[in-house]
Amino acid sequence: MVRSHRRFSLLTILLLTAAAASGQRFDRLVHGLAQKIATAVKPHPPVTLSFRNVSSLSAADAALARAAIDRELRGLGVAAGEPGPGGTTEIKVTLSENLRGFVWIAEIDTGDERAIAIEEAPKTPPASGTTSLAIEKKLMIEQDRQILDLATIGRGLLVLDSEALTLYESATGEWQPKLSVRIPVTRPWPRDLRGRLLVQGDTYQAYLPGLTCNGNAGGGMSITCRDALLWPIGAGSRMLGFAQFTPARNYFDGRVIAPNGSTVSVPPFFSAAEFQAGTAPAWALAGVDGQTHLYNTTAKNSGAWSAIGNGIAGLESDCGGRSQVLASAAGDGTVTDSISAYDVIDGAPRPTGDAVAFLGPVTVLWPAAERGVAFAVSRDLRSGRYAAFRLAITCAH
Amino acid sequence: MQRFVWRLPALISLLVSLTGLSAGGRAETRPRYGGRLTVEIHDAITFTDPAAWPPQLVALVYDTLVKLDERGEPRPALAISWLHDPENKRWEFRLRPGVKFHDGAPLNAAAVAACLKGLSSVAAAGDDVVVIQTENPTPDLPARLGGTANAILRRGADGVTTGSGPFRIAEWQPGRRALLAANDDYWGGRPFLDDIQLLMGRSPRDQAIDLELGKADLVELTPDDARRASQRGARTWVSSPAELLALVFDRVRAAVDDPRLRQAVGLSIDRAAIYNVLLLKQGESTGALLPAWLTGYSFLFPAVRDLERARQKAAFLPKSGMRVTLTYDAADPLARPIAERIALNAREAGVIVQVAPGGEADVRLARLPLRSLDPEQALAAYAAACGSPPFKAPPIFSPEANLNAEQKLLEDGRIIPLFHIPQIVGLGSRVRNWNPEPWGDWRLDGVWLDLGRT
Repeated sequence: MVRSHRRFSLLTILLLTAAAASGQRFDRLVHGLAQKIATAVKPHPPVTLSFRNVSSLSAADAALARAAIDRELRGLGVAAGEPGPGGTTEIKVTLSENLRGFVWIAEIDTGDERAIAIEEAPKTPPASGTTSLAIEKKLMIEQDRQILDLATIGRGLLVLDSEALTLYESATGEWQPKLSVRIPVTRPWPRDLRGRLLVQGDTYQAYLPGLTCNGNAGGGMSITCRDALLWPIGAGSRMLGFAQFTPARNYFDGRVIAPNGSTVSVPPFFSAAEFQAGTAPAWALAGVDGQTHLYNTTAKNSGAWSAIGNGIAGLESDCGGRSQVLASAAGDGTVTDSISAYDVIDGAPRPTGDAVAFLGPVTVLWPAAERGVAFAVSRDLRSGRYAAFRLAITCAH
Repeated sequence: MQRFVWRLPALISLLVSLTGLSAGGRAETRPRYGGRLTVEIHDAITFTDPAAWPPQLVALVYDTLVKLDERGEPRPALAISWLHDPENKRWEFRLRPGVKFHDGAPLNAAAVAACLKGLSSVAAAGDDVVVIQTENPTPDLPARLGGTANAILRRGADGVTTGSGPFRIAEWQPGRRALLAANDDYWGGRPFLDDIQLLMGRSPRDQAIDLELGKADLVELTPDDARRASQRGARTWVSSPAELLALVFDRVRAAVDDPRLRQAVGLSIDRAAIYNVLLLKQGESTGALLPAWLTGYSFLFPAVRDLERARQKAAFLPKSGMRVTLTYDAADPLARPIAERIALNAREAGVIVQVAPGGEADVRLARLPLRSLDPEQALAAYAAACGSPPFKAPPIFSPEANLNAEQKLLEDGRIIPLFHIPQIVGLGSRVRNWNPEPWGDWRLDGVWLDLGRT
């Protein structure tokens, strides 16, 4: 009985919460339409008020809307009542909708004249004060071998996978392999293989677990590799430093050589994203411990977020605060994945725009050299193939 | 707890089956490149200018600064971002870098400004920013720029237009045939199809036969043919009712100058009967120019037959003024029976309507495509198509202002809206990834052909 009583209370709370949420959803429409009606019927005679719902609103939501309009009108001095000596003003409210959202229409007949008041609102109200942002996803290349990173090089595309570096050229809209060099692997790769590819002019640097390779991809292709542990995090003036990648694992061990040559220690992390914290640049590190640790550019800890994903990348864009963090969703390698964009507002990540979905887990997410662009790789759960995508942030202010 | 344990496998099973269902809804194979899609349409397009094209085809060849999503919200296209001042009067659109017209000319801010100069004050700021200054606040400017009326194009000295869209015009036989070849350098990625063969001026009967014989992959169907095609198991698709079927009275002919005559005809029409019997309940009866799904307020325009009032109006007409001629498109199989039904209705009100295919007449039964999802622009296009005086945009942006503008266009009774009718499309068995916009933009750049099927 006690349990049943608790259930009843919970149900009541849920229903009341839902009603309140619905009411709030219509606040703007209710207020806007009531104001227009009140203006049209001044001075306020008794009115008859009728409603009909021709929209996709449920009967319950329509009833809530009706009650809210009625209440708002009474608050503005427009009340239903008996016809007075001057007659009654008839108000017919139609809850309608169009392509963009709800359209509420009041036909106001005062006897002498007829006025129309219309109030519109999107069905899903836009997030206030933020930017409408979208991630454009474009398939670049798909193959059986695991793709670790890719980079544009001139008009070509350089792809680093588990066995080779391959230069692709575009032919009739599709990327076709032109040249390839094998990576001289001397030891087995870790199970969750990762790699990073950076390009400058015709030359490239490929960072792999325990190995750094460089070479030329203009004209012919060359490759020279040496044992090395350091991978760059960021580039140019926006660089955190060189971080040590654990060769037999899939993360950085936390030792970072800062651009000034000093060695700093941060928690072990999978990936890092630069973002703008107010006017100052900052770094988010997706820690192995599940936290997202925040650092300023001198690698001083400035707080933590609860994890937003272990694959993160920071991008500059023209949207919102002009820097966003992209993050893949939580989940293991057996489920589909998505990548979301976050604006950092008041020091906290806020999701913005719609997430882009993938047919399998996202295995790679690196920022590209191009502004506002990242590359992501996903393993298709059905085919087992790896697909590389170009993700570009676009926005409408 | 025990109850939960035995339910767990069932829950997992449900989730697995849901996942399976969801995966099954997607294409089973990766998109394939290649092949020719043959499309047949009724219209015989004579110019490359998109203003003369059916709206569903424009985006194949011509881009716009923004594109509209399924809710009509603007999304980046040639413009990757935009900003406006607090008054919504000054807008800056940043262009996608590196885009070229099909003839190789750069699609830069100067080219866009030259193309949009009819819109308002447009100027290039550098190579990649277009600044649009409007006299009145225009909060819906991006959505407006998504309409096909604002397609970005280059007009050659010979009047031939060039676009930047996913397909380029490779061959052009005015009114008969066009070959649209895939644009290898399209910014949105090369289309999967190699090309689209567009056969124009095809009668609905021929289209239905060609679809059945596998000679066409995509055709326009009448409601009757669509019903037959569905019975055969063929794939059909119906858009939102976007095209307006209306009576348009000539503005210079004296025979229809008396507003009472136009009112008598309008009030006499039994839309419900035509909708049920001839349109087979496809689309909707209307008294409005803009469809209900676009405005939400089309019910404010009455579309009910009132024979009594029609007779009253006609009773005031001089005997000589009770006769009008009505023309229709002879190649449109729906037009003739509808025109004849209108004549029958009008006769009941006392107005003699003489029906004839094509040629000069006092009234024409017209199909008017929806040229924009922006109400103001759509109304302007209707006004132009009906020979109405130039449409004056309301100075204030509001739904009431749009409603007033629509009422104003209809107040002289020279346009009588009858129905909003949908596009009905028949699809061949090898067409894949058919994903049009609800209002009818065909989006063929995403379509691919299962070339294993014939």
